[in-house]
Amino acid sequence: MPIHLHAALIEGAPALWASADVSRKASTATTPAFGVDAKKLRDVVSRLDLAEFAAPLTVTAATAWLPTRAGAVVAPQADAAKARLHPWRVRVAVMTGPQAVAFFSAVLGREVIADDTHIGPDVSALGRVLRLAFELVAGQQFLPAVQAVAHEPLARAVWQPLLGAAERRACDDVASGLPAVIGAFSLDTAARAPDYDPRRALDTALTFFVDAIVRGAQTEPRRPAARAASLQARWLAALHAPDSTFAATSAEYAELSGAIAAWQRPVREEREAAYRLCLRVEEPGTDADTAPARDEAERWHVAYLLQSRIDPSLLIDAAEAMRSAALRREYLTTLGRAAPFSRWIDESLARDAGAPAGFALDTAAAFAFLQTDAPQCAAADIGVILPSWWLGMDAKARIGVRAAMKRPKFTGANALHAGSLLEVDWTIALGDETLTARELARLARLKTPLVRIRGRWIHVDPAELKAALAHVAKTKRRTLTVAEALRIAVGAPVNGIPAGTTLAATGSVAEHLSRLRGETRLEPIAPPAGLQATLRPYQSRGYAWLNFLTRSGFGACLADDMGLGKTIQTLALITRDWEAKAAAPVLLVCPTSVIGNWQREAERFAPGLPVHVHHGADRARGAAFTKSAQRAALVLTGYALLHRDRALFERVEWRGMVLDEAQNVKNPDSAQARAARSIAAGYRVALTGTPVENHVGDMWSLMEFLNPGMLGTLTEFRREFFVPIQVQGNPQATERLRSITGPFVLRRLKSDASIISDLPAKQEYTVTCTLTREQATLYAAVLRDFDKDLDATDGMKRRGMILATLSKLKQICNHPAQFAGDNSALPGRSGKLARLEEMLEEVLDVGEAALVFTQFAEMGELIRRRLEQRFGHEVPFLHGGVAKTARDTMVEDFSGGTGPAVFILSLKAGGSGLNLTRANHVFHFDRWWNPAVENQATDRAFRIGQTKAVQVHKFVCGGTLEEKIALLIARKAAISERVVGSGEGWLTELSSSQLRELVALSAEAVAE
Amino acid sequence: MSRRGWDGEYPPRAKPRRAADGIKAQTKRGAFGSGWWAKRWIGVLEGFSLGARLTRGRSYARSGQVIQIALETGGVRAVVQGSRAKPYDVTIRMRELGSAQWRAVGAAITNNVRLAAALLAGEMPEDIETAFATAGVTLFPASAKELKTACSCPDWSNPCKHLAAVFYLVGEEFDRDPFLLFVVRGLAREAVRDLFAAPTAADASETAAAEVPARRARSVPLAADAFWGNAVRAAGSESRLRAPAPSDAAILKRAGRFPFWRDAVPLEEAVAPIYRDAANAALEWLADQADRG
Repeated sequence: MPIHLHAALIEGAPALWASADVSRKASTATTPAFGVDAKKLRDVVSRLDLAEFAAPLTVTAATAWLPTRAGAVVAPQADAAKARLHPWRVRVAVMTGPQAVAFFSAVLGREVIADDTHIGPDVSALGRVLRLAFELVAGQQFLPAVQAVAHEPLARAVWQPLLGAAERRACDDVASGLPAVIGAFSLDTAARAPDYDPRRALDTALTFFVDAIVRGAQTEPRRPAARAASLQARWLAALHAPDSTFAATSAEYAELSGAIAAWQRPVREEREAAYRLCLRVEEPGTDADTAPARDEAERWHVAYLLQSRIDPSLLIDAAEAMRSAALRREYLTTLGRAAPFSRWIDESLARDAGAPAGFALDTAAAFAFLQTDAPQCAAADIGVILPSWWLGMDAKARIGVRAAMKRPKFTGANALHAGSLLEVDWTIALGDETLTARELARLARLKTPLVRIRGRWIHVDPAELKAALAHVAKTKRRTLTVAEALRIAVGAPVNGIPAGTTLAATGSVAEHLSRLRGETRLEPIAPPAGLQATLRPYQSRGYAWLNFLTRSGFGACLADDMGLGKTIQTLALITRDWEAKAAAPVLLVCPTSVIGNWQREAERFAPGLPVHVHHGADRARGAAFTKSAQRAALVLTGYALLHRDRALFERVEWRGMVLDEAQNVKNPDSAQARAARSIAAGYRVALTGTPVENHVGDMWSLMEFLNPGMLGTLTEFRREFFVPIQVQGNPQATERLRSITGPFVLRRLKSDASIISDLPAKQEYTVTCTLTREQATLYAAVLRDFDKDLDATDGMKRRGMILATLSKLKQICNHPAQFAGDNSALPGRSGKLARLEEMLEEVLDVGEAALVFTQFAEMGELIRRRLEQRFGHEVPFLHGGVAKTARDTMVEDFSGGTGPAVFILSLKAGGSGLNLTRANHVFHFDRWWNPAVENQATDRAFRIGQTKAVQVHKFVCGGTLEEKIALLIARKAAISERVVGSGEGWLTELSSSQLRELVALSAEAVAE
Repeated sequence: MSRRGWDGEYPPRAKPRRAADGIKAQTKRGAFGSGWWAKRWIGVLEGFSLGARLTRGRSYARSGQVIQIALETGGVRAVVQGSRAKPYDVTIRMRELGSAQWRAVGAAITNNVRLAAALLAGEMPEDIETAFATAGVTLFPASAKELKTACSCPDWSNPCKHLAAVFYLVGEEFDRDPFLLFVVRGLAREAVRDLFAAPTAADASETAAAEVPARRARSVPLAADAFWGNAVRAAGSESRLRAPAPSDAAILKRAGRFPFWRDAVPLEEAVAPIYRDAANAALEWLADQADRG
C-alpha cells in the first residue's frame, strides 16, 4: 500500500504527517482520526535515512480541518462539491530547523522518496520555499530580528529574510502555489477552521527556513549568554546559539524590537524601493585614432541611470527620470544614497543643482574611480556597469607571458610525442599579440595603469606586469614538453609557469593544437586488421580521436549517446595497440552487470584479443593474476573489485586504463574514484553516455582521472567553476571550463545530422547481464531439483514440470524477489534490474523516453517500485488489471510528454494496439522467445510518427537458459516463427540431455 | 584623571556605583561622534563651560553609567546611575519649531537638489543649516536659553556631569540617525519627507494606480487543486532569484550602527562571520541542487 507523506505548518514550524490512503471510510466521531499512527509515521520518515532524524521523532496529535463529505475526507482526486471543513485528529511530527532543512533538501524535485513512499504536493510547495530561502541567504538578504514568545517571559532571536522588490515578486509566485492544507493544522482543538492566508504561510515558512539555514551554517556556535547579561548580549548570544530563545520581559522585548526596527529602517527602505542607481562607465571613443589625444587627457564619462530592481535590464536615463515626478523622487533618493560612496557623485549634485546626469573624469580620475569607488558602490548595492576589459573578461585585453615556439623541429604529426621537448622564447603579449620593446617601455613608465594600446583600452595591473617581466627575465626554462605546451594552450595550469600564460604555436605543434581543438579534422587511420566489424564513418573518427589523444599523452572521454558504439570504438583502439605490439594489457573497469556484455562484444568483434575476466569468488589472485593479466590484451573487472583488489592491479604495468560508465567515479571521494586515480596506466580513457557537460559537479573527478591537475584542486574547482557556473550562471567561467575540458571530451548525439545519415532507423541489441551471487545460488538449487525430477517423471507431468522449472529459472534471472514472491527489498539483487537502472539513467539524462516490457505482471510491479525509488518520480505500469480510463490517462500522459519518460507495460496488455512514439528506446526485460510477439511490442514505438532512430535492448542473463535459448532461436531463425509461435511449449519436446544442456549454468554467469 | 582645579562637586567626590549593562559610548577616545551634526551638538554642550564636569561626563558615558535614554519630540529623557543607590532622572527640553517655520525650511530644501537628494536618502548634509538660515531659524540651539535641562542629583551646578554624559550619548545617537535632530526640534520622523518632497498630483495618481489590493484572509478553498495542491505540481513554476556574489555583509554596513549598543564589539562586527558562513553554505547548496538536476 503506497504511503503519502505530507507537510503542514504548525505554530510557525514545518511538520510531517502521512496518510496511507486519503479516501477513508466514514466515521461518526466528532474529531475522527485520520492519517497513519505514530509508529508508521516514524517508519516512513526513517526510510529517508537522514542523520538529522536519527533520534526517534516526537509525534503529537494535531487538529486538521480537511474537506469532508458524508463523514469521510474527500480525496485529492475527487470532486469537492458539497464538502465542508471538518476537524480530524492527525498524528504529526513537528520538525526542528536542521531536520526541516535536511528533509526538504532531500526530497526536492522528487515525487517518490523511497520504496512506495510518495510525497504530497504540499511537501513540494514547502520545498520551493526552502529553495527561495537558500537564494536569499546566498545573497546575504537577511537581518537579525526578534520575535515574541507567547505566555512566557521569553523572546526568540531570529534571522529574518529581507525582501526587496524582486524578492517580493518571487515570494508572491511561491505563495500562489501553497496549497491550503499547509495551513489547516493546529495543536489546540480550535472551534473553527484556521483562516487561509497563503502569503502569511509563506512568510512563516520563509522565516523559519532562513533562520534554520543561517544557524546551521555557523562553523563555530557560541555558548549562550549568562542570564544576567544585558538584553542585547542575550539577544546576540541567541542569534549564535542553536537555541534561539532568551529571557526577556515584555518591556524588554518592546525596547529591543523598537531598537531593531529603528536600526533596520534605512536598509529596509532602500531594498524595498523599486529602483536603484546604476553607474555606467563610458570610455573615450576608440574611433578617434585620427588625432588621438594624449591618453591622460582623455575624457571619460560616468552616466547615472535608474535601474529597476525587478527587471535589472530596465535602465532609465537621467533625463527621462527627471521628467516624471515619481521617478524624479526615486532618482534623487538613489543619488542621495550614493553620494557618500563617491565624491564625484556628491560633487555632481552640488554642481548640477537642476538635473544631475553624471560626471566626466580624466584618465587618472577614471582609474581611481574604477579602482576604489566602483567596488564600494557595488558593495553598497548600487548598480555598476564597467567595461569588459576592466573586469578581465576580455582575453584580448589582458597582458601576460607568452611562450613563443622558437624552432619547430618536428614535422608530421606522428613525430610528435607527449614528452617531446620544444624550445620556446618568453615574451610579453597583449592577448595574443607580442608587445614591442617600445610598448613595454611605455607601460613601465605609466603613471596611471589605464592605457590605450593598439586601438583598445587596457588595464595594466602593475603587479601582474612585474611578475610577467620577472618570469621572462629570470626563468631558466627554455623548453616545454609538448604536453605542457598543449596544456598552456587550453588554459590549464602548468607548474612553474604564471597563470594566464598563452602559447604562440607554430608548425606541427600548431597543427596538433588545431586538431586537439577540433578545428582541423584528424586524418583517418585504418581500422585494425583483427576487428571483425565495419566501423561507421563517425566511429572511425572516434577511433582516430581516441588514438590521437592517447598518443599525445592526454586522457580522453568518449561520451557518445547510447547506441552509437562506444564499445566498438574502444575495442578498435585496444586491438590496434595490441597488433602494433602485444605487450602490456589494458584494464577495463565497468559495472558488474555488464562484464558479461563486454566479454561477448570482445569475442564477437575482436576474437583475436586475449581477454582475462577478473571477477567472481574464484577469481585469480596474487601471482596467478599477474601472470594471466600479463598475457592478456584486455583485463575486465567491476568497480567494486577495482577498490578491493587495488593492490593486485597496482602490481601490473598497464598499457591503458578504461572506465566504462565513468559516471561511477563522479564522486571524487568514493573508494572507486580514489582507486581509479591511483592505478598507473599508459593512457586513460573514460566512456559515458551521460551528457557530461550538463554535470559540472562531476567534471572534476572525471578530469582528475583523465588529466590530473588540469582543473586545479577540488576546492579551487568548486570556487572558480562550480559555484560561479551553477549559481551565478557566470559565462566566463563556463567558457573557461569548456576551453579546458572541451578538447578531451568527444560527444556525438544520435540527432546530429552527420550521425543520423549513418544510422539505421531501428537497431537491436542483445544486452548480456550478469547474475548476482544470490541469483546464481537460487538458480543452482532449482537445477538440482530439476535434475532429480527430470528422469523420474513422464507425460503430462514431465511437461508440467519442465514448464514450471523454466518459469522458475526465468523468474530468478529477473529478480530473486519475483521468484520468492515476497515483498523484500529490491536494490543490489538482480543484474538485469541494475543494468536497466543504469541504462534508463542515460536515457532520461539526455531527455529521451523508454518503454519497458515484461511478460510478468509481478515483475512489472517490482520494476515500477524500484524505478520510482531510484528516479524519484511516479512511473506508470500498464497491465491487464488497469481499468480503461486509467489506461487512457497513462497513455495520454506519456504521449503528451507531461508524465514520466519511462512506461512499463506487460507484454499482454501493452504489446499491441497502442501508439507510443514518444519513446525511442524499447527494453525487453525478459524474453517471450517469440520474435513476432516481441516485434509487435517494439512497434509501439517504432511506427509512423516516430522521428528518431529506435533502439531495442533485449536483456538476457549470460550463461543461463536465457542466453542459450536466444542463440538457439537465432540459429533457427527460419523455423522460429512456426515452431515457437505458441510460446514455450516446444521446449518440452526436447530430450532430457538437450534440456539439461539448455538450462545449465555456466561458471562465468556469476558476478561477484 | 586630573585632580587639578575645582570640579564643582560638593561634598568631596564619591565614586559612582557601577551600573550593570549601561549604555556604553562607542567612541573610545577623542571626540564623540564622527558626523558634523554630532560635533555641532557636542559643541553646544561645550559652550556651557563645564570645566572638569565635561571630562567626568565623558567618562560616565564611556563606562556605561547611563542606564536608559529616550529621544522624543521636543527633548530627551534619561536615567543615570550616580553615587547614590537611586539613579538620577535627566531631562533636556528644546524649543520646538512651529509648523510655519518647518514649512519655510521645507521650501528652502526643495529648491536645492543636493539637499533634497541627501535627505531623501536619509543622509544629513552639512549645509542643511543654510536651509534653516534661509527660513530664519536654526537647527541647533543658538544659545543656552533655547535649552532647558534638569537633573535630580544633589549637585547644585547645572548642567551637571550626568547631563553631560547624556549629552555625549545623544551626540552619538545623532551620529547614527541625524534625523533625530529634527525630532527633538519638534518634527515627527514620518513628517520629514513630506516636508520638502510633498507628493504632487501626478505622484498621487501614479501611487493609486500601483496600489496593491489589501491582503485579506480568505475562506479556505475546498476544491482539490487549491486545497491539496494537485495543480501546483503540474504547473511546476520555478521562480529563481539570481544570487549575487556576497559582498561581506554589505547589508549590515548599510544598516549602520545599532542604537545605544552596549557591547564593546559593534553588532556588525559580531555577526559578520555568520553572514560569510551562511552565504557560502547557501551557495554550495544551490550549486549542488543545480547539479542534481
